[in-house]
Formats: sequence, C-alpha cells, structure tokens
Amino acid sequence: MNGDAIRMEGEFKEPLNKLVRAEIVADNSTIRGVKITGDFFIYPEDFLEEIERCLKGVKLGEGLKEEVKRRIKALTKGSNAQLVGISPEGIAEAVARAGAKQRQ
Amino acid sequence: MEGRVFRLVEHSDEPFMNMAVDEAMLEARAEGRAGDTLRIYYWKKPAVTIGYFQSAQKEVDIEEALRLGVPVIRRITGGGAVLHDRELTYSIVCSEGLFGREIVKSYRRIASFIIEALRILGVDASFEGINDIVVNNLKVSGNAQTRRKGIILQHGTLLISPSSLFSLLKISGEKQKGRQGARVGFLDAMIKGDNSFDYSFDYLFDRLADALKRSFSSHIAPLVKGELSREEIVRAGNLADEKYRTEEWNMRR
Repeated sequence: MNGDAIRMEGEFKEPLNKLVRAEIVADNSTIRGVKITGDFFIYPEDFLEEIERCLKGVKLGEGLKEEVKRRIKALTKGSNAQLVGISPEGIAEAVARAGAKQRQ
Repeated sequence: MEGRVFRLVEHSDEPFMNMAVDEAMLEARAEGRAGDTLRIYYWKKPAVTIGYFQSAQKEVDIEEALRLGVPVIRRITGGGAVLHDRELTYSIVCSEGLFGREIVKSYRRIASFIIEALRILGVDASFEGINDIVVNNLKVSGNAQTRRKGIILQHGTLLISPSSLFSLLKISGEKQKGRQGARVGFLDAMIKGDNSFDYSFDYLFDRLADALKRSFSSHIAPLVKGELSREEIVRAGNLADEKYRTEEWNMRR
C-alpha cells in the first residue's frame, strides 16, 4: 500500500428516516474502515458492526454507491436484523457522499 | 393481556444510575427475576443521553458539557440525543408479546398511552414518524427501545419546561434540512393554556405522572405500586460504575 490513509465523512437524512453519518478511512482508493453513526435503530444493535465490516475493501469512485447498497442488502437478507429509520440506500448515499470528498 | 399486572416503580436517581436502573430492570425481567414494569422518574441532576449509535462528539458540545458538569451518557437504546432537564422520563420493561415483535408498530402502540395521558391534561398530541409525539408540529416526546431475549425496554422523555442547557445539543446540517430535529415544544405552556397562573415544575411533573399512570392502567395493564429489588439496585450500581460512568462506553462512537 502506498499513499497515506485519508479520512472522509458524509451525512444523509432520507425523508421520514433518521440521520446517517458515514466516516470512512481509505487508502489506494479502497475503503479500509467505516463508522456509521446516527439516531436510527438497528436490532440487534451489534448488527451495525457487521454492516461496517462488510464495507471494507469497497473501491471508491464510480459504482461506490451501488456496491455499498448491494453488500448491505446481501448481508441483511440472510439475517433477522431489523433496520428502523435507516436503509441500505441511505447508508450507501452517506458513504458515497463521504467518498466524493476525496481530494487526492 | 388478561391477568397481567405491571409493577409501578417511581425511582429517580442521579444520571448514571438512571440509565443503569433501566438496564438492570431489563436484565432482571429477561432472566425471569422481575415482572413487567412501568417506571416514572426524573433526573436529580441534568444530563445528556445519546443514542446507542450516535457519535458523542458530533451530537454534543462535549467541552461545554464538561465545563458545566453535565454528564454525557450513551444509552443502550438507539435514537437521538436527549437533554434531561425539566422533563419527565418513563421506562417500560415487558415481554414483547404485549406490543408485538414488529418494532415500528410497537412504538405506535406504546405511544398511544402517552397520547391519552396528554389528552387527560387537555393537550391534543399525535404520533409522528417512527418514535416521536408532537403537539402542533412541535416535538414534546422522544422514545427509544431495545430488546433482549424477547423483552422490550422502551424509555422516553416528556419535555415539561425549557432549559438553558439545550444548547449542549448540536443539530447537524442534514437534519436541519428536514422538519424534524430542531423544533421542540414544552408541555408547561400547553397544559397551562390561557390560565395565567404560574405552575411549578414539581406540580406539572406530578400531574403528568398521574395522567400517565391513569392512562397506562386503563389502556395497557393495571399498576401495582412496587419498588426495585435489592438485586436490581446492586446490579444497577455495578452497571453505573463499570459502564455508564466510563469514557470507553460513552465515547465509543
């Protein structure tokens, strides 16, 4: 890996849903870590950590939003988790907004 | 619902213990060592609580809170940041069979007893969004729940009077764009109506508590006055020390 890791942040609030904020750490145009915060609800709560984990390795740039959405949907489908006030689309938008702030 | 009775606990405490007691009640109920409970309480000192998934730094002016000695405590429930000052807090612990497994619906069902309590006081409130209660588009109550082993813990707040500490809460740019978030209302003026008499906070708190108890008894289940068990209090003390007082927990996101 060359190049320093960079931190970026994006937030999004879907109509009728809660605020979702994504803080991402990336290097070489690849997401290394994601932190999602906001006033939403997820049951069970530790499912959010699974969501965050499943986004590691996603490439920044074109197709970022679609890939984030696809991964979260796949993860959610195979679980009993309930997302309340937050959706895969909303998380994808917040991550994409963070990714769009890349200035390197 | 037949035969179901709730224990009524009116136990108010300092901030860390308030959150610890709710969790201890949930644990005790989940382990079959306590029954269904309605707790009504206030905060002996002002505090800010943040939702389980929120960023402490982003939601609260931490430096100012520190300067003022107002603790910032992460809840085990999701939802938004709440200033606990000049308000009433309730918590409900019960099996999810009573309000259903579907979380969105259960918020609405639980809110109905609060809306009815406000109606008793002459305030026309309604449910809004996922977990809010509003009066004339102003949010007067926020509610949050979690579940463990088939048991619900829902706690929520009813704003009684304005507080100068509201400025400790930050409102994000994205949230300001929506109509929710920034606009809150206070029940003191709404209960008072055209009456020019000044009611004390304590008087309003008691009236609100009475209305909640009445509404709960007639809409959800009869209440039997009770106390926390010794075990719950000891467990709450441990949770307060090992979790709610720690930076590791409160600043984890």
